[in-house]
Amino acid sequence: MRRPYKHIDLNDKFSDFEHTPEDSSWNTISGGINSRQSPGNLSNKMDDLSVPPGSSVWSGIASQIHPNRKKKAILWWNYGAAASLISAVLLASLVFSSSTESATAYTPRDTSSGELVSWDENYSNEEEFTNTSDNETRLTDASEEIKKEFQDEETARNTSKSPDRKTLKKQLIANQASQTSGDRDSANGEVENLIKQVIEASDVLYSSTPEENSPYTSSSNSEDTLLIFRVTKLKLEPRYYANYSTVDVKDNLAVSTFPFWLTSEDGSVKPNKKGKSTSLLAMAQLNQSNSSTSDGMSLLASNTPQSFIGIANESLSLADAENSAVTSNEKFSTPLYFSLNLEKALSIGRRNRWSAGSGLGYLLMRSSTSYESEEISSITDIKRNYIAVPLYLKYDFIKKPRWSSYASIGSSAEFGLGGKAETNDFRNDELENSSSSKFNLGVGQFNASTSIGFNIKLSTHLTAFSEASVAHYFYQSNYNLWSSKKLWPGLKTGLSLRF
Amino acid sequence: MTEEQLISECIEGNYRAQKKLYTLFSGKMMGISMRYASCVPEAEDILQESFIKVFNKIDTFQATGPLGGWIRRIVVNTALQRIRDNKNYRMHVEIDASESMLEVSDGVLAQMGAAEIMKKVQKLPNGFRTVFNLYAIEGYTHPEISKELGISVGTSKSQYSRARAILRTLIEKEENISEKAI
Repeated sequence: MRRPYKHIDLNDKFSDFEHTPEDSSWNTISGGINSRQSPGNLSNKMDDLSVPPGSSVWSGIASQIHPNRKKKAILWWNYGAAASLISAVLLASLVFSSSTESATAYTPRDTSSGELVSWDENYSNEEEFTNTSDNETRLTDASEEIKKEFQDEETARNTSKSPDRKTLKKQLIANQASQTSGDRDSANGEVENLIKQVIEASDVLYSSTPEENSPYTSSSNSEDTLLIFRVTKLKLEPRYYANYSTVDVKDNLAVSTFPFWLTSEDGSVKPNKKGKSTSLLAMAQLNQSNSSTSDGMSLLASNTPQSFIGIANESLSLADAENSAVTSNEKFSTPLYFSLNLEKALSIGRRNRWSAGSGLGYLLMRSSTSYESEEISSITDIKRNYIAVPLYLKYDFIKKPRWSSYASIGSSAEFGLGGKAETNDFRNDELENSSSSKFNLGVGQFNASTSIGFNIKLSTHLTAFSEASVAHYFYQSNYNLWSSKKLWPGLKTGLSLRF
Repeated sequence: MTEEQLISECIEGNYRAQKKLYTLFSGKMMGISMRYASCVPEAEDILQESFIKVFNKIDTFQATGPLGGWIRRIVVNTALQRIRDNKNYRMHVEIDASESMLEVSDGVLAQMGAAEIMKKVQKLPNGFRTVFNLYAIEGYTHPEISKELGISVGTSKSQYSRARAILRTLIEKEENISEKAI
């Protein structure tokens, strides 16, 4: 007989049973819970995402909702670019070509009466040429160095009693007459008469006889006689007046307006201490040897075999004609510059608008001086050539795929290659004489400049540029018309390799 | 300037106001566009088309809800319209719907950043990406998606499932690359 089954109540047995599940169990459960909530959470997360679109998107929208405005904008850029380019070129070529000391007119005066010409207000009395109370011919000047040279010269000359003016004139006339008689048929009395006229009509302030040369005539020209007399005052740079002297063709007589006290020992011409205007004296050189004299006078004698009458002659012919004007004009063309540059884009900002560069350039500076009276005129064209090494920093304020507009700052060292002066003299509008000479520009010059210009992309790395610039020069070894200006304009063009 | 003033000036066609409105919402709307596009240029096309509609129809905007929500609906609808017009969309649906794979868990998606999810979502085929966006992010139901895209409910479900599977594959692939790199 089977034993009766004793029922075990499992519910009771397991009622208190516990078993701790593994950690992964909850992950599974929580995953299930999250699964039901995920769309909402993901939605919130994705909605918070903000992505800035490209600038072209707004352009596209604007072109659709404001089609006319888009056209205007395009035109504005095109016109703006064209106008900027044209204005830059015009600014460079027109403004900068105007006269610096435009059309200075003066009326020569006969100063033989002893009346002093009124001097430039900018000059103090000590800078004037004055006659001493004892009628002794004497030069005084603000430049102590130069004045000392003259004083030394004069001291040496005046170990004996100095002649008065009338005596001096007589001596000069007699001296010149004796020198020009006999061996020079070309003079033929004409020069002597002219000299007489010059001396009689002018207020001779200084003279150097063959035995008493000024410090500005070399020993090789010991036979030269130098006359200095006041003609008028002019507000022009000194160097150019040397070129005005090539007006007349008379042997053995050179006359020019030239601020001789500004001539330095090395032959270059420096501005006066005002740096701008200068009162001029006329200088007559009685050139016996027809050879170049030293220093400033070489500018007179280096022109043609014939000597010069120049402004002094003009002053004579116009001495009696009151209100007759002799017009002097100086112009300088925009310096032209061409360079080949290497540029490196700088990683500044998002769009790489900055770049730096350097290169090799050629600089041409041209100027023109003219002197006109009723009969006589003279035009001198001067060219100065330099090799330049620029260094600059550039910022593209408009940057397009094919072109850009930029502003730049930089500096440039410019080394002088040489200069050339060509002078044409006219009488009654007919060419009477032509001459040319070359001159040294010295070491060169150094400047800092700022520019605004355009780049046009020719290929991936090659661009052509054109810019208008303004430069300030810290150093110039060769004084010229531009030296008196604080800022130099310029027009620069060239090619740049950008990498 | 309040939102009402901004809307008012946009209705008048004020260029500055329109640009301001665009500046205010373009970032977020671009984020939405990118979810439906496979690349940035395509997303920008959607955005551009959407905002042109916004400015042309802003006078119909009823201020019963937020302006951002109204613009968002235009962006999504524009994206869907482009997808419907895209012939390749249906091809992807038919070809890929038959397969089945392990899906990415929601827990994994929860741990990922929005930008990271965006990159993965953009790699999905057009059809999968659209269904995933509509269901998981926009909160559409499968019947709504089927109606919106003109596909069956079953296709919508399988597309969603398939999208999650591809996302899982993409994430695993990236993790493997990361581990190998380590």
